Amino acid sequence: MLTADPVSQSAAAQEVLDGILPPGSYYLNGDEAAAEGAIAANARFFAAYPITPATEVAERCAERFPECGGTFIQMEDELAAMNCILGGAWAGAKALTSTSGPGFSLMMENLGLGIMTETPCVVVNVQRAGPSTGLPTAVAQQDMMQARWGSHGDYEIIALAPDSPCECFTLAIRCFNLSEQFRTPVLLMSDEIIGHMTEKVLVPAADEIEIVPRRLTDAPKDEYWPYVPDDDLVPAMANAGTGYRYHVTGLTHDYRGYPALTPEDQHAQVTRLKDKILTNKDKIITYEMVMMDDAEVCLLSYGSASRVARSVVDILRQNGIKAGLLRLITVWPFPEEIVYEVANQVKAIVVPEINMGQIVREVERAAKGCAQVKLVPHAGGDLHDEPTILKAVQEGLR
Amino acid sequence: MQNTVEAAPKFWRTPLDEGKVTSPIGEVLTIPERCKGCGWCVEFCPKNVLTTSDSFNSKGYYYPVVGRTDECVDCRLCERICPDFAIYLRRAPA
Amino acid sequence: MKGADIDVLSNEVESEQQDHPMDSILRMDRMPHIWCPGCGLGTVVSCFAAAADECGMDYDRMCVVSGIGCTGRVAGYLQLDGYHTTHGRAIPFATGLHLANPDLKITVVSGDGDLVAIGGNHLIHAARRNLDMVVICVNNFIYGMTGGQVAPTTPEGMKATTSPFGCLERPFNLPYLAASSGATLVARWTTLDVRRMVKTFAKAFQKKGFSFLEIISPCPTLFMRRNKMGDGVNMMRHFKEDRVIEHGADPRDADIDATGKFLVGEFLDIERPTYIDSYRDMVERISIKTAPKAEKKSAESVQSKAKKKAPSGEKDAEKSGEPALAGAGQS
Repeated sequence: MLTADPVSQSAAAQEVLDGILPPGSYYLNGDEAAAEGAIAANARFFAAYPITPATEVAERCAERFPECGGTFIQMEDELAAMNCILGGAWAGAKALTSTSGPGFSLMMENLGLGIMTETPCVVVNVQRAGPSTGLPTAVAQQDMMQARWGSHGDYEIIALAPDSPCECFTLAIRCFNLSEQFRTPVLLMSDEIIGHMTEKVLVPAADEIEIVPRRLTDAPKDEYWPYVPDDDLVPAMANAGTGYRYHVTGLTHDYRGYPALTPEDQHAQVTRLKDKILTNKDKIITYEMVMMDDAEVCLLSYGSASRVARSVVDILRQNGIKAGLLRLITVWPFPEEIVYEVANQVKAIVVPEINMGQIVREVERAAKGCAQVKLVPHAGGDLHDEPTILKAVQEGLR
Repeated sequence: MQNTVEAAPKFWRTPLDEGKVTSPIGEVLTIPERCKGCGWCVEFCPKNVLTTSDSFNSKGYYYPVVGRTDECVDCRLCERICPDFAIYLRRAPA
Repeated sequence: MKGADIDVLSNEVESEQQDHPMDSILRMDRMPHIWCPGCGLGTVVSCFAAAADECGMDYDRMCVVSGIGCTGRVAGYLQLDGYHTTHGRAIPFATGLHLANPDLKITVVSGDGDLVAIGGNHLIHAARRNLDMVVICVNNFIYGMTGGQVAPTTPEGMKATTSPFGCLERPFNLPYLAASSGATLVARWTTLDVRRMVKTFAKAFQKKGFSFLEIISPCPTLFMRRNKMGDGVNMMRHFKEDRVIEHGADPRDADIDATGKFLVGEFLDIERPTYIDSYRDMVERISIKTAPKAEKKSAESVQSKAKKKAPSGEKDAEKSGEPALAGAGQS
């Protein structure tokens, strides 16, 4: 079922793989690693539509989910895929889908349904260059703002950006944990370079993997309402068919799940959905800092662009420039406080991203003028080259 | 078809089970405040039991009332067809 | 005179505290519902509840999924696990519910615009897959909730707000569409045919496969008013006059035009494997194929594991917070 893994030849790998890969190292590309990470997180429901460069996620799941006791279905379009995973989640499964830019756009309305109904699920976006059909087989990071604002209405979203196949595996698990913890769809914002790059992925033992279970209600059946928040503003859920007989709607609703359409209800609903994420930011935000302690210039990046930024930091250091890397792992909610601290420390923040300026706007906003913020744009198609970033750093330090 | 009186059927011979089989008798119960005056129960009752009241409920709808008290056979068509769950039957004791 | 009678109660009128026999399956805390006088949606709900009762359905395992529109509000009035989803997407949502837990008994109740226009793609694919669910399409020939726009079922020549000079398009023949896409139970009734509707609903609930049930319903406020068709009683009389009951009729002949007779009945009732049947067969097939000959696991234990994967909604998995779903071998 699996292609031969030259690294791991243990007898365990030959058994029927009814779950997570046996611990060891594997050569997987980012898409495959994301699929395996989902399986490791106990995801057992996958619905998607093929789209380059995310198709391999679906193909891996098509092979692995049936043998793991999961369900795989290729739906007729991305709108169907997004809704299908919402339904699967309500039936009790941990569900995910995978797509790229054009499909991501199609999923937006129903991502909103997932946010409004507080449905845990994961959407993997293996970004490619746009707009429109763009470069289907080439990298970009052009959906980062869409990840935050793509659906209509006011809401918050959680989006993580891996920088390697290994991180696709670990962040996929983290995405599921966050989605269950906060009862929200979570986005894994991969990109074509990470998705199609084959690297060593270290799979830990199953008991070393932390899995957050679904927060199911223990209320008596006749006293349960689906949207009574706990202290962390997250309501306990009840899976379909377990006798709770609740109602769930995309309309603005009250704690009973019934449509409640006054401005007061709207205010209560929207603020709780936002606060649910924002007041728990400390549990959600992660980032990586490399050589930032004494840095005078910060390279702020995420995803595959951060790999180039990392080597630029090394080059700068070799040339006596005190550079450091702030790699965003959680891109949304945006780590404003960290960026503000960094802005107070360094002279300039240089933001290489494979788009014409998306996350840099958040950096500018969060820096509040305390440091110069310099974008290194790239319209997409391949990674930045180091000289371009180096030049931007020099300009930033002038 | 509305509100006409049916003549009792005339049989050319006595049915074999006459006296053994009796039609059920239904007692019509209405919840007038729920009624929205669609008129379907009155229109389609196969025994023309119901008629529209001269009174209306607090929303201004004319609800059904029983006109031909002894004719209801508990067929429950009105109960099933009412879109507002405003009318239902109880079987009267034989 | 009428006003003076408001305090006079005839001896058949009971007090407001009484319960209708259907109240236990309805969300009485949300009544009265929003549907207009003369709209058949309440009747559809009544027949749905009667059918569920008649075949002894486990209400805890029933789910109702609806889309957007007047019919879309049905999910909100039933005391069952209900999902009021986005426009046109009730069927894929129901697909997910079903595949992740095939023990659920899922009914999609939605309108003609929701299921056949924006949701058309999902309808034909779900029928093609023969997913085990019931789809009740309440056809009132119009987009009601948004004020009366033309729908893919509006008969040619009839008026709507977005076809003020008459609809230019040939409407869908829904039973034909569903049958040719692969539905295994296809029927059409009007809201007049309450007993027949109950029987067909009950049959659909108990049938394994994709059931598509079109229910023709009046929309007096919008469709009928714009086309000067009278009120709900007029439409029901028209149903009585012009509907022709023909079980087993060829769905091809089930077109509805503005004035003529139209067919109702159970047009199609066949059996073929559902998606879940095929999926389970596949899981069994691959489990046997990948079973190693080595000592660690015997072929029997793999096969019995494959059989164990045939799901039955594992309740104790739910306690630990892990999902219960199709073929869940994990906990």
